[in-house]
Amino acid sequence: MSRFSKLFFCTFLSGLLLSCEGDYYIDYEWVSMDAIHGNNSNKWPEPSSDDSISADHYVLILQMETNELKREGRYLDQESPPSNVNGLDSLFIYSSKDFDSEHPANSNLTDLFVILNDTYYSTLPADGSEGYWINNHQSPRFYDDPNVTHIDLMLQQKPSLKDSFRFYVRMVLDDGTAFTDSTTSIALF
Amino acid sequence: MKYILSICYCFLTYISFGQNEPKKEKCQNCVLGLGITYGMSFTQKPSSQPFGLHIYPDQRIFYISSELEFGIILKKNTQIRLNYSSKKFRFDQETYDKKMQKEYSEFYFYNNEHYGIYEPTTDFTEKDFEAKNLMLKVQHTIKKTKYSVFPSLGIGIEKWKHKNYQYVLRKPSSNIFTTYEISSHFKPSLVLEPSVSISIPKYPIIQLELGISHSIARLNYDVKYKKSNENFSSTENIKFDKNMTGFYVTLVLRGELN
Repeated sequence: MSRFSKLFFCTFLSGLLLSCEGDYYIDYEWVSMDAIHGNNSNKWPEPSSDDSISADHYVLILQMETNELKREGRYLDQESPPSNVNGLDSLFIYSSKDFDSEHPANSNLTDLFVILNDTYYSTLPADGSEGYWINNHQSPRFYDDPNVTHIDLMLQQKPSLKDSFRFYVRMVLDDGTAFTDSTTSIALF
Repeated sequence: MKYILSICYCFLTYISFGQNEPKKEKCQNCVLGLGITYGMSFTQKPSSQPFGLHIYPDQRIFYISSELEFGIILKKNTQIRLNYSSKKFRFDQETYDKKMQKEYSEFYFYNNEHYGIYEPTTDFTEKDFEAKNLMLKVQHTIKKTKYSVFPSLGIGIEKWKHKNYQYVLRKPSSNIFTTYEISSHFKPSLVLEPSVSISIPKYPIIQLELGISHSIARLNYDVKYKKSNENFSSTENIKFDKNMTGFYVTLVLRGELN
């Protein structure tokens, strides 16, 4: 191998090694939860203060306050997304009114919702039947908001009668910590 | 590009030094060539297809390919060569997204930029297309005092490989969305390729080749789709042909092995 070839090979290898290290490792936890209404009539769900929303595009948004515990490295990388050290264990959503014949007042409504992980390619049933791996790693907004600061729950079924509903949410984390909140009353049509 | 340059460097060294060494007569009248091609491929706009398949890939695409060829000189002015090239087509995600959004204007269109990176089922990790091409070329040599011209005609096969991809469509008035997953299986298609190369006597191994290629790509897609959070249950197979015409320019290092 000539001197030129050796030099070329070494330079290329050094460049390759330097370009492959330094991903962020972030640990965070949720410290509080607020339940609000959301409207999915635009491209992504947005918080809504309307008194009524069509049930076809109603979204229950859980706004999560986060506390970052550790951040190491230099670059955000979707292949190593932030880790929630105290993830979601179980979720309960209920209403004081009958939603339909299968969901009387105060029964769990999670089977009516789908969790949108900030992208339509990563959704989960809200009843936990496929676990609760809630993350932003495939989100188009990942680089602006890598920690999960909101959980969007898309309603998949209309109530049997047009009525006003107030949703109560209870969220239990892996260590037993529980957050509870309720929305304001909203007319679903 | 670094790999190609280093291969060219090695090849040039081999050809240059080889000419001064005593002849070993292992492969008399054999020709070896290496090339880098920059080309543009125009595809005839196919008729509208379901699932927006006529939009993928784009109608006009640039490519870079590396070529390797081995030839035998049959007569003084005629040689026959076997040429292998691997073309890489850059996928223009932005243009594709705009066209899909226009095609499905009553829906919101969501691309999946990460499909292929996180999905272990596909062997692509980049948003590129590939075409592998094997050609048999017959070349004639016309030598003038200041330059040489080498008209040639090639016939061969080309096999395409598209990245599998996904997209989602959702009506603005609904939380229900549909996910489409598209995979492709293409059979080799016939390619016809007339071209002409030129060189100057001072540097006979460096040749510039200009050519046109024409092929009919026989596209064969499987489309799976599902509603919201359900599992994929429906599949459709769509086949259609696409006429492709390309222009290219190749820088070739071509030398006799004896």
